[in-house]
Amino acid sequence: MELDTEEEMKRIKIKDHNELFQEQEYLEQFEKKKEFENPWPAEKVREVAEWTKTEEYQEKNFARKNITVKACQPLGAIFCASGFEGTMPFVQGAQGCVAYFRSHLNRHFKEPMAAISTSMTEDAAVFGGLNNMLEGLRNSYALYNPKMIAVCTTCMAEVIGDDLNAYIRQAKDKEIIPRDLPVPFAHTPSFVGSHITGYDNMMKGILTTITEGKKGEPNGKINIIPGFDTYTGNYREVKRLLGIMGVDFTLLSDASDVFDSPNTGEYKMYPGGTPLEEAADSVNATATIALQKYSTVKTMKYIEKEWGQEALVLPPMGVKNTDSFFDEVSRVTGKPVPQEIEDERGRAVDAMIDSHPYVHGKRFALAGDPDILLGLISFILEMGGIPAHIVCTNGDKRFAAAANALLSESPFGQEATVYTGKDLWHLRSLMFTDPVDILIGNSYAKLLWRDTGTPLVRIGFPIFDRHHLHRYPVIGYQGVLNMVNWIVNTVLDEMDRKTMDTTSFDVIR
Amino acid sequence: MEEKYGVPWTEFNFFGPTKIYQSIRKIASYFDDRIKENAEKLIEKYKPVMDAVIERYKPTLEDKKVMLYVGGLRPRHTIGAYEDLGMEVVAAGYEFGHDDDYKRTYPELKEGAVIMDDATLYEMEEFARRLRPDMVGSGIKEKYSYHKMGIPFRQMHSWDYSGPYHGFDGFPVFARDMDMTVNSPTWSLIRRKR
Repeated sequence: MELDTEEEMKRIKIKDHNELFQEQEYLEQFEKKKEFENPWPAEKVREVAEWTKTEEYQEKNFARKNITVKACQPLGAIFCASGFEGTMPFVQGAQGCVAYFRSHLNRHFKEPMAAISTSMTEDAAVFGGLNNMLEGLRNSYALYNPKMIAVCTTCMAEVIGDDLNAYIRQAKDKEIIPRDLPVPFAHTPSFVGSHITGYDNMMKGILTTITEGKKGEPNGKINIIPGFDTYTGNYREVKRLLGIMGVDFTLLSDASDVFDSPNTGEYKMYPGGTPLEEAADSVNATATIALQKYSTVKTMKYIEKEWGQEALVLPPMGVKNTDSFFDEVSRVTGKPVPQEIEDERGRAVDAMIDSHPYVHGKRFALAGDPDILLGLISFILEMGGIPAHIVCTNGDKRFAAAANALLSESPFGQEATVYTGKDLWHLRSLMFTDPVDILIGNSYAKLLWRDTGTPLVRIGFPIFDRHHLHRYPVIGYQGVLNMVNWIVNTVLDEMDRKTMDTTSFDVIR
Repeated sequence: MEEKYGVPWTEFNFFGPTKIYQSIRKIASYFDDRIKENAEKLIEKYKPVMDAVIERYKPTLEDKKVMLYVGGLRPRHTIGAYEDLGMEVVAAGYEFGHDDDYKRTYPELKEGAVIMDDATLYEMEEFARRLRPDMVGSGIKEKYSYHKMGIPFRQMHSWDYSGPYHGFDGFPVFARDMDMTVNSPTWSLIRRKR
């Protein structure tokens, strides 16, 4: 540590790694360590780094096969399960998997996240995971007293072909857990799809189990399925808006209180979630509305077929999509859209008009999950922005078709290319060979900001390196306002930084 | 200067290529052949850029109507720039114009255009209602009233913190900004009383 003068020593200044490791003593240490690291010469590293910015490299980059850089099914499955009252997500499989699911959700929400792993290791791989499941069910029920245990799998359990249905039946036959304890299950192999697939599989499993034998009198409500939505702000927003409209609804998988509980000095393992009775009665609703398409495909198909309900998919991101959402909710429930909500719309449109000069004509690179990308594309086009590179690692052909259809409807969508099955390293090449003005993505995208200097607006999942963004909605008219805020103010931050020593460093923008 | 000392003077206008070329030639006309030649070279150098800007932005701005209310010069000086983009100035008003400003404004406008002197917000709102301009150019104290009326607006004092708008380098910025606002998709999101 650099020693300051006696005066300065009196006011103790403590430097953490952010400053400390930039001091001469440490910089020299890093240099000296290189002797043992046997690195490539700095000049060679620089040369290769420059080469990665070229068209030639881009070709090699895009020729890569076997992209597996995405989140896996069980992450979505346990997130879905957590949204139900008193529900313990239970993962048949390896420990490390659950460690990663929980820590991902801990870091994004800054909340506790309970989940069980049956800790399958080499012997379970040989003999099967039945004993792990039986012991796991007995222990979790005894220790944590859940109202429901929702079971899913990791790769290991899938590879050896554990039969969840059979195992759970055995557990009940052997009276390891009460017969009337709901134990829905879903097979969630990670070599298929991504976390949004896992959400879908688990939701279908939970609804199938919990509504069994519950078909009865229509309850006059509508069901809302949020999908794999990691904005607790979105849940609160949809509840608020439907409340204003006077609509009676059931939110199936309500993650808001579970992942955003008040600090009261007491740790609650199950702070909220969809009440199980309401979830059971969802089969008797008038209609079900999904707020995401690609994380509810199987579930909505099941609802339409087996429940005989109108199954609508109405992702409400951006002005026009939110308009459609309200039009349909109004139609299905017979309730008019109140002036209060119309006024919110007017304020959001006003904000877009006020700020359009800083978004109009700006080229965007977007990376994220399918539904959030479609919402962002819609909103950006509404503002006159130009989506250029759209990367959806876990997007399928249907998503690509939907995105291209949306883009073709607007003169501002003519420059875009949609990439499915590609990752952020592909996007890095694109941002060098065909630069954009703004990047929208999760926390990992910050590496692209660092490398290309393109300012990053953090929208999506996971957001680990900024706090509390998930508490604000991106859906509805408030969501529009928030997106205008984040995008415009990022542009202005960047503008200020660039003009700091010039005559364009204006106080008014 | 001209009356008392015989030094010739001219009011030049660097808004939009038509006025810029005219002004450069007018200024050069007071000087020798070398300068006149350089003037033509200058115009030749920038004409392709000006033409490219017009080719890019005129198609989406053609026939759009503009109402201006600025200070003491721009209500007439910017007319040429708008016309280069095919836009029509249907009203021009001055906050503090004098007799001679108005005299110099008449020839710039088409028959039937409105000229205003020291207009109030009431009058501006009424003219907007009757003339239905596609765009209003005025100041910060007017801007948001027009936004609420759903009429595209560009500040013609502060350039809405953009600019420059003068000269060869300013015309592309001017064209981009007028197009951005007149043709912003955000205006079409406005939903009047249901």
